Amino acid sequence: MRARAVYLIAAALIVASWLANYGYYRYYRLPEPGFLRHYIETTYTPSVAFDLLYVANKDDKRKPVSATAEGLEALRFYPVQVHQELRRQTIYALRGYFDENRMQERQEGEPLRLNALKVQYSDGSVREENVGEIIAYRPAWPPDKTKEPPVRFSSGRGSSDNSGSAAVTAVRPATLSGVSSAWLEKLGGAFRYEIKANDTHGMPQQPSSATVPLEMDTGQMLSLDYRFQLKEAADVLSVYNVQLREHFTEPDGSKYDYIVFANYTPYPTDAQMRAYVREMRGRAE
Amino acid sequence: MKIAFSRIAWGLGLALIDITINGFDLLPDVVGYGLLMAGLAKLVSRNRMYKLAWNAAAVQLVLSVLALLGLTRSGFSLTGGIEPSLNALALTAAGLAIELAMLYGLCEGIRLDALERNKERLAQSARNRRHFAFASGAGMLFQLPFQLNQSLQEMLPFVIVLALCVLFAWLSILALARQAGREIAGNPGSGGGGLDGGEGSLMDVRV
Repeated sequence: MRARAVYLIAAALIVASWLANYGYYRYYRLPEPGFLRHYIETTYTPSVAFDLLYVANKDDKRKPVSATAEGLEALRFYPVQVHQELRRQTIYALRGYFDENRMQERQEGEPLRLNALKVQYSDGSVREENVGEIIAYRPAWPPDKTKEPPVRFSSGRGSSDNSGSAAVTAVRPATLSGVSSAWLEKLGGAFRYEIKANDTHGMPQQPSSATVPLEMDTGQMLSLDYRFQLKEAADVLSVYNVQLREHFTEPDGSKYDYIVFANYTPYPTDAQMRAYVREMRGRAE
Repeated sequence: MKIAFSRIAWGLGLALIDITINGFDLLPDVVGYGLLMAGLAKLVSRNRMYKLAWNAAAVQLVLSVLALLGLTRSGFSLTGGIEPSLNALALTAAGLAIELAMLYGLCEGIRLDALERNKERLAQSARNRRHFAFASGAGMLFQLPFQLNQSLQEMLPFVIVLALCVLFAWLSILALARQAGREIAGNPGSGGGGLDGGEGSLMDVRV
């Protein structure tokens, strides 16, 4: 009788273990695979365009292979890569570029704003997918290279803690009138940047943090340090390509924008991915 | 009858050992379970526990034929670095549960046989090994689904200890079958055998 009770208790524990683990496993599966939310600024010139990150459950066979966007005919993608393997999900990266051979001559145009791309999948299906918000700036092509910019790249740094900096040196006197990006308002306190100026001998100016407008002499160096501080679960798994435009004005009134690329690419932990799945599940219900 | 236990022991051994070269199993489990069934077939009339073991071995035989044909694949590597899928875990658990039923039937059948012949020590031995096999198998069945949510690396020490317990339980039951062959069937003069009219003894001589 006692032996039977032991067998029954053991069987009950095994069944409970399977039910609980299976329930937990099911709960933390994505209800539907899809693209992470992207906030992208890109410039429609031959160069790296942007990465699209797609998250799917590990056993999901279907993967995106390419995407097209109306108005960005030169947009092409490299073969899909695994960006990150998590416990239950895989994040894939579609690496996009603007193909120079497909660029057509054009005048400067208004920035193109896109929310959806037409995505081709490995199973042959094509679907229009909401990927977030993409702003593509469209300067004239081919570019006017007759005038040398008033500043030139001096040094740059990017770090895995989502911070970085870029420094420029003035080749002619110019005034930095401001820094802008389409995503600064949206990011709010989750993104910090600071301008630091050195004198013509490379020594830091006092105070260490400079304010605009900032007049620069020839040979003077200016650096812009930035840091993403995303904390909210939904934001941690968003992709940000921020173009920080440093607006320079020369004494003759001509203007030039120097772009500092500040990118945030998510590498979530399992706990962050679980929070994301919970949020997706909440949205699906 | 001794040959029956000999076949069971060989069957357990062959089903346990997997030697694969380039994915080809040199000692397919089919042979092991076939021998087990052949051995148990001679004992099923003695008590219903042998029948339980025979039925479980038959299911395992079918599963191992399917595995040999590449239609199913149970089990997973502890060191391959690949997380087992839900299907692999479920198939492994099903195979382990059937295996437990087989070992339970075999141990309990031997115990009942031993009690009938007043072989107290053999009966006690069968009981202990049944308990050990059940405890290690149940432990394994309990922990398997955790691998759906925990990484195999995190659980590896625990899994290895349990796997070693299951292996040891299997080996101890293999030894039990040999012991039963000697004590139940091999010594009619001491009240142990002779139930099959000495056929087992004659066959043992031939073997």
